[in-house]
Amino acid sequence: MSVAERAVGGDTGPEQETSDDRIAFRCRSLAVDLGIGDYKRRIIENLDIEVPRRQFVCILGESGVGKTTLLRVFGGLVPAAAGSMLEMNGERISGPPQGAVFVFQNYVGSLLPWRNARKNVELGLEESLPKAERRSRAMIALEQVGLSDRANDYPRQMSGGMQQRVQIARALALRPRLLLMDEPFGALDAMTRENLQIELRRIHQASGSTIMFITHDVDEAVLLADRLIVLRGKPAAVGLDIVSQLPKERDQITTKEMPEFLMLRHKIYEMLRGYGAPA
Amino acid sequence: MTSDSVQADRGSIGAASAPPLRGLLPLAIGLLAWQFFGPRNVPYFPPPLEWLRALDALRISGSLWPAILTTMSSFAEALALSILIGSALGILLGRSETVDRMLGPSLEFWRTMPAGALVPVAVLILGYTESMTLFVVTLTSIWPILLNVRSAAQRISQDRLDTARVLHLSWFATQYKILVPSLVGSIQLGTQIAAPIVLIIVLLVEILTQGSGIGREISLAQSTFRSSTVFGLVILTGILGLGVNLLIGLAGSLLRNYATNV
Amino acid sequence: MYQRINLPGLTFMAGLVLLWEIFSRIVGARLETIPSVSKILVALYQIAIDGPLFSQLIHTLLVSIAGWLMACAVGLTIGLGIGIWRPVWRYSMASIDVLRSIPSISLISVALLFFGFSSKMEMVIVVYVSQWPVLLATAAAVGATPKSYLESAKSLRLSQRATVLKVRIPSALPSIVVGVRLALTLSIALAVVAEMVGNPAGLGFGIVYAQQAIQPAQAFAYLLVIGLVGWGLNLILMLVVERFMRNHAVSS
Repeated sequence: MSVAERAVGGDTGPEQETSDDRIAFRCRSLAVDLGIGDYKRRIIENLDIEVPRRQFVCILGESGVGKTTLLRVFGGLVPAAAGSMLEMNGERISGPPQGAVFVFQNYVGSLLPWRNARKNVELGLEESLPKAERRSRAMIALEQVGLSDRANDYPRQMSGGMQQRVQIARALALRPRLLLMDEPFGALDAMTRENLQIELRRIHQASGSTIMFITHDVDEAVLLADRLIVLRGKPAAVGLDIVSQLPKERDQITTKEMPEFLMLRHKIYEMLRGYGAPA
Repeated sequence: MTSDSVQADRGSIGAASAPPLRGLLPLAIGLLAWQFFGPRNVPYFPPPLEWLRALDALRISGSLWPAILTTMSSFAEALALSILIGSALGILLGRSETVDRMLGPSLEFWRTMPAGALVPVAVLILGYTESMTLFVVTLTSIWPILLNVRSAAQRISQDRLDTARVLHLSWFATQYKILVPSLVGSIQLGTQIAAPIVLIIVLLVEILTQGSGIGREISLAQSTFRSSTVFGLVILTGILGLGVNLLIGLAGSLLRNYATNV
Repeated sequence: MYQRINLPGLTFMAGLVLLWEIFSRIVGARLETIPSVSKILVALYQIAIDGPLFSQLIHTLLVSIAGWLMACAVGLTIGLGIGIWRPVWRYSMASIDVLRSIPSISLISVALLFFGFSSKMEMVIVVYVSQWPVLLATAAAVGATPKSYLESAKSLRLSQRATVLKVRIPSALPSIVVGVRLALTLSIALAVVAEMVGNPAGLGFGIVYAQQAIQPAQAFAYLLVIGLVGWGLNLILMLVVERFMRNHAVSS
């Protein structure tokens, strides 16, 4: 049993469900503008997406198409244009929604260097939980990412992979219903990335969170996702939206040899290269 | 992403941007309020216009310009000397670790010495002379330049020095073409910090010794309770201070062009 | 900091002192104004035991430290306001730049007008002038808090208060410390100067009195004490800072 699975025995699942508990996240006619005054451009147009609970969604697209912007809109860090409908668990999003956490690509900038790993993980809990419970939640989260023995170390004492794991632990400690991850493994070396991919998949299975994950790495996306969305065009729209038929249990070797894997991969590359018609 | 940065920027300053002029509003409003609503005929609260009149009276009586001249020439002399000595010492300390360690503690002590305290002692030894003023001001103002040049000198990359040796440059050419341009930036930075200090200490000496210059005029006006004159002169020193800062900043931009073109 | 005793440094200082002693004895006969080291130490002993040195020392220390603490409080508060809210910065920064350009020395004359020869005058000057470095350092550093930290805080839904206390201030701390150290140097310097021109109390008054009474050894003794105060307080501050900021490395 993995660390993540062991942790499920306790109370690591997401918080109380609301009435409409099939759909974790929904947006309709979503449009996003960037820039001010004369330089205002419509980046994203008319997006309709519904994400059911517990789904692992990977969002792909060419560089600059607007994947990061979209995720930031979902995370309440960037406002949507007028006329957009954006909801999480039935509530409109304006500002970072309760129950959603963002994991940034730049781990160096997001961890506070004057706090050790455990205190960094506790950062999001300090306003809502008493000390003892904070500490135990933080330690559980650190264990989920395999860093419980480094709890007292400072970011500068850790490698890039470890720092990113601390950031992920910080997000997990909040027991989020929705986890938004912006190319979190992009800055890491190949081996660390592969280990974290599998670990993330296990954490997802065990915790029941919904995950939206951005990457430009097609193989990574197909390996991790329950559902793949490819953005295309200027302004960006959904080019491909496909549910993966791959089994729940995945690994770096056998999964990548399955016909389903290759088929998904093929379709995505087609869409990215511009051969397929937008959905 | 522009919008992202605008979003995230909310509540934070652009680090190095010049403050907008509308920031002068509080000051302007304050001065106007003082002028029109300030207590009348209270001795120490003269309205701002009075200050200008007092300054003008001083000009007419012939004391203003000589005072400005005296102060500013002391300033210029002391600044030049500070730059020379500060840079020289900075280079010496930066390039030679032995000397740095030897002189270190002694200099540390002098660096933290409150400037004014030197004046009575200097007066006893050197009397009320120009060289006394120069001595005190220089001793207290070399530190920013010294420290900046020292750290820059410590950090001159070995590559540059090796370049000089490989090209068989003479000692003189090495100084001129490699060493000095590398240090120009730190000298300028140190000068920018030191200039206001030089002005302050010059005024300080003038006030303490009541010798000559603007400091003397301020001290005189204060002891005879001519408050408008005091305020007027204070504003004058402020303007001089601003002017000095602007000039040094300008010199800095010019020098930066030189340093990159060499 | 001074992990190993700086032998060359200490030797050099001792050498200087020795040279001074020899020089002043040789030349001293003619140039009475440069007293020998031994004479200075004697004078120091005299003002300490029989004289007003301790009360003057306490006065200067009290005014410097109290004024410095107040200056830090004021500078930090205003600096935070300017650093956090852009509109505040826009509508005040230019005025602040103008105000702080006025040489602090000229303001002593203004303070003398308002408060006369008193400790109040001394305090006002110390606080007014010393808070500028703290204010400016705080405003600049807090305003330049890296966006990535702020976004993390926002994404974790930290309250405004928590963001300021847990992110902005710690991030700005190294710069604020620089400002605080500068403020201490200024506090001491201004207290001494204010005592020299206005408030007949403290070490500043002591040294001026010695000068006017043409007592060079005494004047030098005061100079030594003042120098030690400046050096000592700075050292203590630096040790305290290093102790508390050991783990504070902030990646620029």
